[in-house]
Amino acid sequence: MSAGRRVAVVTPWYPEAQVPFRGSFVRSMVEAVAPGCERLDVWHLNLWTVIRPPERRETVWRVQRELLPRSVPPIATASGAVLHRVPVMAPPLEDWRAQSDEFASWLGVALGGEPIDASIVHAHVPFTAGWAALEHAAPGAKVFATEHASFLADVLAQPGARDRYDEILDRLDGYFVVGEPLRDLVAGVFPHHAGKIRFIANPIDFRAPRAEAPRDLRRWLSVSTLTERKRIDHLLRGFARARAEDPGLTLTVVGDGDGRADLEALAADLGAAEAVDFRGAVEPDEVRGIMAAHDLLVHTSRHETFGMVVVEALAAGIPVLVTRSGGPEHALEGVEAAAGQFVDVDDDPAVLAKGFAELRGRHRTGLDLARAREVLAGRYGYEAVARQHFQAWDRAAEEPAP
Amino acid sequence: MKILYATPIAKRYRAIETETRLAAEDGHEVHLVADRRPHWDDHEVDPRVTVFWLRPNELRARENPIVTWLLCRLPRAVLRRLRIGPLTRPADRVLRAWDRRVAHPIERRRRRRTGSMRTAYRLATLTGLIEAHDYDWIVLGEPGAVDLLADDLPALLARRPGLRTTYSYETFLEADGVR
Repeated sequence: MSAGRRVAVVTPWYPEAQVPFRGSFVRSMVEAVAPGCERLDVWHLNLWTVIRPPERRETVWRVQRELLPRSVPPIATASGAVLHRVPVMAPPLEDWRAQSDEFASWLGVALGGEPIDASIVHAHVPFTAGWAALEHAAPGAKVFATEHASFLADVLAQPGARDRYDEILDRLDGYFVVGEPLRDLVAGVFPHHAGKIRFIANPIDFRAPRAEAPRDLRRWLSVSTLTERKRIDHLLRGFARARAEDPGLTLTVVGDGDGRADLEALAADLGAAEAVDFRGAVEPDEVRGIMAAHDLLVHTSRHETFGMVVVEALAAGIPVLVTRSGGPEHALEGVEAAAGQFVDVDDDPAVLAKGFAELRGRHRTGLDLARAREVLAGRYGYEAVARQHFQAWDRAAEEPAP
Repeated sequence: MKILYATPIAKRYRAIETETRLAAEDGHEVHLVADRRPHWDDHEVDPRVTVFWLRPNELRARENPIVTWLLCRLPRAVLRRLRIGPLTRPADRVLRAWDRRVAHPIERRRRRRTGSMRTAYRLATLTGLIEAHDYDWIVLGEPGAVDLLADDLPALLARRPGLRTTYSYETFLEADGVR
């Protein structure tokens, strides 16, 4: 690590044994920026929901306050950074403001009453980790936050949470979003902060793509949690439609979720069970290899704040067939045609199948994956994203204290 | 070191599997105490780990059979039979009232007693292991572990201030000569 920057990253998401892919983009950010820092500490505020009556919770909280300062030894993480995992105990809360208070409270307990030992604090998800960072940053430290949350609209629908978010925006030294949909949402709710909103990318590894571009687009791949928003049922229907034209198509579904059994049943109902491989959740390190072993990433989400997996697929050297779901249009701006094919968010599976047919018709001559990769590496590669962070941090550090 | 990996509710399967294996690989003597859920019918804990399976679902609080028959089963059976005939509406009304005032409170009371029995069983197993094995390190791998031991931990920590506690087993940085 290089001299000068003492940084703390505060985040509600970071990969762990139970959910190895959750927050892998935060670890990528750490991996990208840590070499440019003198020291980097990650505070992972891991939500532990406790469903107990209030009187029992009091007892549990009291014991946890005694346990926490002695029970979070540092852990080695990416690029020499140090990770501290802090369980954030909270009852099931629908009140986002109350939840942000829990995050700040437990971080304070873990810190033993001391402020965060860093001159730069960068939080992911402002209303939870961002609030905790602001409440515990050392005097004079500069605090930044990046918004990724796809459920931010729900948060801002609550008046208490909206006021809290307003205060957070006020106090931050820098505020970033990862995609245009989030910028539009935040600027719409807080027009007085619109000038403060900046874009920052999630870093993506562009090293070592597959040796040659796919010759045919037969091996489809989906990498996604199996939630309603990702519309894997729609993907299966579109796949079945496309497969009716070409029985040689296969689909690998990477990811897990409560809907898996229903989706497996749907694949069988569509007569495509033998062509669809449900792999379940895999380690984040395996995703790149899996992508390189397929011909096409198909991403059918209804709404994305960024669409990281789409850029990851191009980094791995395969084209994409992706819905216009917000983030991906912004992420691929300027290289849409070179990278693959966009389709509308439409529940008619024929739309996906038609998009595939169009892509297939022009993929040998109409795509330019090398150019798309080059452009995207300049935006989202580790070096590019680290540079964006350093510029923001260093500029704020040079500003005189108010 | 002798480690107790405590997950009495045990829904965090991947973490249990990965972290106990890692601890065993690091040369520790690892004891796992966990609820035996169906997941483990198809998955294995590392063979180097000593597992103490909890089977709380086998415990059920008993109700006096006379109470069960006279106040729950018999009246319900009669009223359900009556519901089929011309007395559908009044029988339905009486059945719902009977359930609300008599049967459901009895069942709720039994569920509460079952819950208490299962908690007591989990706690007795866990504290029994802690007493019997003189562990160097307890991993409280889920909120349920902290909850279950909440009444006992302060005294245990006062008695054994050197006892290591963490919420996971991971590649911790060298500290205090540990690992």
